[in-house]
Amino acid sequence: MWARLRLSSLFGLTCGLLWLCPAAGSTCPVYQTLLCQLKNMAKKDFLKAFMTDQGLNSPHLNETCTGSSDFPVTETLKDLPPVTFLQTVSQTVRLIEQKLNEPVFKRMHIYLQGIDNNVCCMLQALLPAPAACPAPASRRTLSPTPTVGSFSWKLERCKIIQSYQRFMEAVGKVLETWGASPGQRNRKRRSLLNVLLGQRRKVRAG
Amino acid sequence: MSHVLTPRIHLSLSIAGSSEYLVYPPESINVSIRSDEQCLDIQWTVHLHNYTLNLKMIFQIDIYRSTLSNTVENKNYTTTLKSNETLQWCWHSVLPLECTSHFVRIRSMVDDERFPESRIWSSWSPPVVSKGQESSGEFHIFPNDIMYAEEDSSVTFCCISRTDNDKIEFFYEDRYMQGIKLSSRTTMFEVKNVAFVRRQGSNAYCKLDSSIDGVVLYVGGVLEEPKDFSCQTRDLETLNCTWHPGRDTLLPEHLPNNYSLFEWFSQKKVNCVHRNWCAWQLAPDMQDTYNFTLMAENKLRKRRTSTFFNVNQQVQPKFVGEISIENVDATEATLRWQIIPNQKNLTFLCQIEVYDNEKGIEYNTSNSEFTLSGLQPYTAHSVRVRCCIASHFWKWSEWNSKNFTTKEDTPSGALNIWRIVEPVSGGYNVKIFWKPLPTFQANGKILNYSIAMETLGKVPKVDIFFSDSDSNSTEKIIDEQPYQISVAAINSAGSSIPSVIVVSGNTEKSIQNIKEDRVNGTRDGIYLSWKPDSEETESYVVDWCNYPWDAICDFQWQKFGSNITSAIIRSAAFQSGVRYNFKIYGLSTKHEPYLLAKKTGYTQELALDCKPEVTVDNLASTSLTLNWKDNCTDEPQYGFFKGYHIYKKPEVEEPCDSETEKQVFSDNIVVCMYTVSDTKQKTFNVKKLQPNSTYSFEVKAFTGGGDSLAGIIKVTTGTHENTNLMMTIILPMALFSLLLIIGLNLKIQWVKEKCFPDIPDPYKSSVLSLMKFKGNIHQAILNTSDCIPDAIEVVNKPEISKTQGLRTILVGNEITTPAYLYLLPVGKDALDSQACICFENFTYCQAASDSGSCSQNQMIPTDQMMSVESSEHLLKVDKDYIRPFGNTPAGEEVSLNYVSQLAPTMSGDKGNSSPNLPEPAHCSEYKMQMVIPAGLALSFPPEGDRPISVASLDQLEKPC
Repeated sequence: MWARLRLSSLFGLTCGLLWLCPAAGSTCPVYQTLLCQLKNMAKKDFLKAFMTDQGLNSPHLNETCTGSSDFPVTETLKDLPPVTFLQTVSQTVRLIEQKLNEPVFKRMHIYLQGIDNNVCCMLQALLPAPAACPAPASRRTLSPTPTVGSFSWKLERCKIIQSYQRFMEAVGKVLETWGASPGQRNRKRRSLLNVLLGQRRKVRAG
Repeated sequence: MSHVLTPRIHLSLSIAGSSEYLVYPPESINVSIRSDEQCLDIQWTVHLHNYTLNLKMIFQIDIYRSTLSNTVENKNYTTTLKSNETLQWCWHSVLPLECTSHFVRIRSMVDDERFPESRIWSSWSPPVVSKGQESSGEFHIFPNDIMYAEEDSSVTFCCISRTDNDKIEFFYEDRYMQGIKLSSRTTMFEVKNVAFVRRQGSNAYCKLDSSIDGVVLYVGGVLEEPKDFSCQTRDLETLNCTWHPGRDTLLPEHLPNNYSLFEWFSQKKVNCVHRNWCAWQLAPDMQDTYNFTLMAENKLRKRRTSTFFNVNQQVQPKFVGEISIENVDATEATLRWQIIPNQKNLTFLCQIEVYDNEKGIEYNTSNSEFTLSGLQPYTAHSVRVRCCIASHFWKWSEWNSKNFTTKEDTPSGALNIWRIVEPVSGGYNVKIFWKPLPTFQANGKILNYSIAMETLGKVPKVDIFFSDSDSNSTEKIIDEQPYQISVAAINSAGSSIPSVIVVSGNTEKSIQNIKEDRVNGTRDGIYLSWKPDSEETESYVVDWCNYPWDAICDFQWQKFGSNITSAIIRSAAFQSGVRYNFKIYGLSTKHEPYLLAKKTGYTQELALDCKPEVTVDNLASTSLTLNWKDNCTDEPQYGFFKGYHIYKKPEVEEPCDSETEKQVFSDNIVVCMYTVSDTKQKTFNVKKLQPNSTYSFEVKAFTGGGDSLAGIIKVTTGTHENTNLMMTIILPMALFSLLLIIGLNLKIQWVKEKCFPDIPDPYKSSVLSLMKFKGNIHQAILNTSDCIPDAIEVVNKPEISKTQGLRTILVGNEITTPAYLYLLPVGKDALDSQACICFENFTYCQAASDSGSCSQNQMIPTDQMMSVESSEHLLKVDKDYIRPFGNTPAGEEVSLNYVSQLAPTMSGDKGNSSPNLPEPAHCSEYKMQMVIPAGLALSFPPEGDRPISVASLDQLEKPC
């Protein structure tokens, strides 16, 4: 058992270094390894590096980066069933990939693909169905982006990365509640519909 | 966007009268902003008549902000008008054009020589406005989003507020900056000498409450003009242009510097993919001359440079494939190659370099093939070729290299052979040695060596055998008859010229009769010399062993020409402290060697490895004998044993004597060194030592390499031998002195006897014995008072003057009493050494009393008289006294004659002696009679006067 763990850790480390675990056409790591990797990957901070590179790490601009996020927050994610949760993560990550599809974010882009692949593998572990991975979503028509390298581009990308960072923080918190084996969870599951309805009620009440 | 403020109609006027003039006011003025260039684009037209084509005109353009007083530009724009042409001019503004509204007005004037009278300004056009964003009611910064600037330039920003007098802050790279208010809503900020901060640009932003609007300023280096721009072709199909782009402008990747080539004759343009080179397709048959302009540009600057050339003169040829090497034999090989461009009008010059292991040779050719000759057989060669255009050199092609090996050839030259002959029973054992042929003579792989031994005796016999290719010697036992031995090297192509040597047993016997000489080594080797031999000597050979102590001694030899009689033998195997033995042979024209000399020596001698044990014998005060025992021998592994060095080191420093050599050691200790040249001598007498001194003696065996270890002994010499000294020097001297004294004494006695015999003692006179007195002997002697003195005639002499200085004291007494005349020399010494002489005769005084000169002398009328005279005078007197009368000079009257020499003795008159007058101790009892010159006549002082002497009292007190 210990040896198996060590091998798994080694593989996880390799994947972590490569930031990529191919889902299709190859064998996925064991669930526990995937879970561990996802937790670690969720902690990766891209915002600080971006702000430093772009000269945005000043108090005034820091505030500008911080804004409301379009992505689900912890409260939303924690009540989702595992499969739904993972599918939400996958979709969100793919959306961020799409928004950051620029050469400047090449490394981050590969990282996000690795997260998406690992999520896909986890879904395969959870779902008995053969094709659990969500199909690549058709590219959304994004609002026109500012000129690359412009001030507004910097701020917008800063906001996206900051949103991603918050989202992955929430994902990490949810994953912390997951058990060592697939399907194990510490809390009662709720459907995404119930969660969304609950959120709407909160908003209206608020 | 522009707005014409006041629509007006301008006409071209033709004023009737004496003169006409032309006026063409600007029409259709349009003003717009090109934000990326911060350029105010002004366009207008002029309505011309047909006859005014190509009219030269000046347009004055005024640009001002808000009011006319705030004019920021006044430009005279000169141009030649063409029909239906829209005129355009772009004004670059430092302040972003969006920051405030700009007004433009234009007027014109014909500036054409054809119409000199028309040089009149038209009226100003109505102002056309380019509206700024100050009244947009939005919060903005201009320039917006992105802008570019070169390093060290100044950049102007403006912030526009939503309402009047909003508080706007401006930050450049988080640095707050003070602005200049242009209007109630517009504030201008200037950043001077901007510097590169990061590739992602520097952030400049305006802050109004919580709102931020910003721009990224990309600061790049100044785009430099491309340097070393040149083009060349390798094949006359593609032109390759290269340049040095200069330093990186550090602009972001999405804002690259663009390079493009433009050719003026063909009017073609190519955008270059790379920043330092570009390819251009040639049309060789269409165009030979090209005029290229290289343009470099980015957002901030444009640069260009040009080159003009004939493409046929900028060709760097290129090889097609490798060069081929054909027809390779022992000394020749043919090279072929193919090179492009292969146009017929091009001629090439090709350079060929051929190297073997030792040297390189260069050839030139204009062909595409070349035959190499004179190559070394069976040798690896490296050849390389490069070409250029012969008609106009541009560049060499790259080297095209290939290696090949020539074929074998018959070995050239002859083997260098030598031999050792050792007598054995019934003949000789002959060892034949040869040196392998060098590569340049072997001309191939040596397969074996052939050795032919032919007898030179009456019965000819030839014995041929072979030795392996890797051998360099062979051995054979021969009988006592002479043999001719031939050795040849054989390869696949043939055999070398045989080397011949004759072995004659009789010659070898002479070895025993030749004495071995010692030779000196040098750093380079060992120097040998020999006497030239007969004219039949073809050469000389020196042989030796590199390892003489080893059974396999590595036999060596070296040949020298007949005109060489000395050489330095060198070998890498030579070592210090090894004795090498050399034999020098003469080699006759009949190839017969004969021994000339034997030499032995070292490259460098070493000190012997032995230590004498020293003892001391015969230790004396000034000498000793050193004895020593040792195992020092003349062994070949150190040096030539030449004897012993004895070092004498006294504890107290003393000079070295002539037998020793002074040696000063490094620690400034001075020692004296004896050299014992006989190696068999084991004892040495050390002399000339200091008594009672300590010496250290060191005995060392020495060679040319220095001294061996020392046998040391410390010795203290004995004390000085006085007895011996006495015996040898002082005692003989003392004896000699004694004998001399005795001899002298005897001689004095003899002289005295002969010259001054003793006055006979009256008491011992034989007369007394004849008188036969009985009783006291003194009673037998006559008393002078009883005698009647004889008369003495005293004649005064003028010679008295000769006695000056003589003090004569005559002591007179009564006539009845005997008086003594003392003649004493003046001076102490005289008194000391002279005995008293006394006269006892009254007659002297009687005669003298008559002389007047007597008063000059002191007459002491008592018996206590004393006279002091100089010894000189005394001697004179004495002399006069002994002078015989007969010697009186002629003419001089003898005034004194001897009467009697008998005088009464003093011994009977002791009572008359005064205590003040010293009595002569040894006065003779006979007083010598003496002539008193007239000058010294006695005078008697008055009675009662004390006798006075001119002599001092000391003299007087001196006892006789």
